[in-house]
Amino acid sequence: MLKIFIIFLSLFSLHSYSDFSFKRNIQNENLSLKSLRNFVFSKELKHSSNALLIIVNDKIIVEDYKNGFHKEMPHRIWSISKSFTGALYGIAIKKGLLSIDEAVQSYYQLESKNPYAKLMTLKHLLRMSSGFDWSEGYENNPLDSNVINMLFISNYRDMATYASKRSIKHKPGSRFNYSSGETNLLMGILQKKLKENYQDFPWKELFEPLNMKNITWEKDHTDNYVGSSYLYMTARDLAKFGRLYLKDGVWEGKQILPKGYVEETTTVAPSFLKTKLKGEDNSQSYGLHWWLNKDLIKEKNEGRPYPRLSENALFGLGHHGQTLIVMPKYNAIAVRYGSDKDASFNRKIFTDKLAAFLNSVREK
Amino acid sequence: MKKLIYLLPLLIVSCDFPKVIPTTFAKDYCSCRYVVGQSKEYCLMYSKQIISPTSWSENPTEKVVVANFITKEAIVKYESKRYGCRIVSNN
Repeated sequence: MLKIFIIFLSLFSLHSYSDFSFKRNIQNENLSLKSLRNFVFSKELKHSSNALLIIVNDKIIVEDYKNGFHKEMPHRIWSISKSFTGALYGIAIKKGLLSIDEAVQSYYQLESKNPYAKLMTLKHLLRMSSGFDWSEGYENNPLDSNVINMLFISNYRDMATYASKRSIKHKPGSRFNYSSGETNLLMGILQKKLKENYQDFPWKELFEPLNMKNITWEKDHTDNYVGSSYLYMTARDLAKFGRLYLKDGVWEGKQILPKGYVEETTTVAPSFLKTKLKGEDNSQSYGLHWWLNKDLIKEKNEGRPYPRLSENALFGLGHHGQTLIVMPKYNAIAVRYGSDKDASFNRKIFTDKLAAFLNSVREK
Repeated sequence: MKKLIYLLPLLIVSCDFPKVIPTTFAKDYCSCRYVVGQSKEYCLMYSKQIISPTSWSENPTEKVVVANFITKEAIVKYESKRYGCRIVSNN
């Protein structure tokens, strides 16, 4: 009797949902959840998952950790950091600190005598469409990788300046080219703009309002945050960031991102439509520092990269399989942390199984 | 062709590329141990790439990691909870 009373209380008591403190364990694991868990934490497949967190209607419905990780332990989110840079720009715009159409050259000297230099704006950087000559290869192509050079070899001291010194090969806005350099340049511009207020800005304006408690953001030697790659947080804290975008930039009634910024984030960069990418990358699409799931049949003869999820799903994707998915259709957020050095985590299978599970939850 | 084979190690040593091996190891290990708080065993497994450093050491009191590969040495230091680890030098 007492047990029933406790269960009743835990189901209906008031909680701060934004803290995701209300955990609903699915007692009888249904087939679709079993299939999802078997895939994510498979011992047969090559990928290695460290965390799986699924939140529906502000309730944690799945939370699993492996390999020594737990709910209080931060994890490197790699390129999902880029989406935080996108959010910080939204906040800076809302505060009237800068405009998305400002010229990059107002902050950093770009390639002299290049007619494209004066055309490059902050929006081009947010859309990975600057036209910079940049190679973003990690383990696959280390000898010809600007990102490895920037993070680890000779340019780790001042990453934004390194990115700004690249030659400009294409007219800004004409070609999509995913680049960690562009994100670090964006952070460098924010640093120049905010001056002494820069160091506390991410905490004061984003992490603390969202009650994200366990955050590390590593910096280069100019004290610029490595916006491309070096943020660390728990799965729950990352889910809170996803919730901000799920709720159209509003947190507990407070408008954090400017109105319309999430919509702009989910608009495909025009340069993306003009650029033919290799293999599966061609079916992806990109907004303001977030990956999208748009149907590009008309524009590129490509369907959605994750067909079981709807077009308005948002993706933060990082090296070694880090994944944040915001799914307005299900009012849901999913986080998957991993350490797949060989990029073996198949996100298409993951999203297929995730959608099947979320459909089964909705049917109940 | 033979000349090229003999020259290849010299070319590799003289260019910047070998820095990547001790630097990625020391950076990844430092962040794994002191930012994430993972076990030594996990962090060793996580930080090793296809080519491992020839030697490495850790000073847990100072939270400094030093890794070497051929003639190159990388030093990475943990700064604080908020700012994590940073490459001090790689020469």
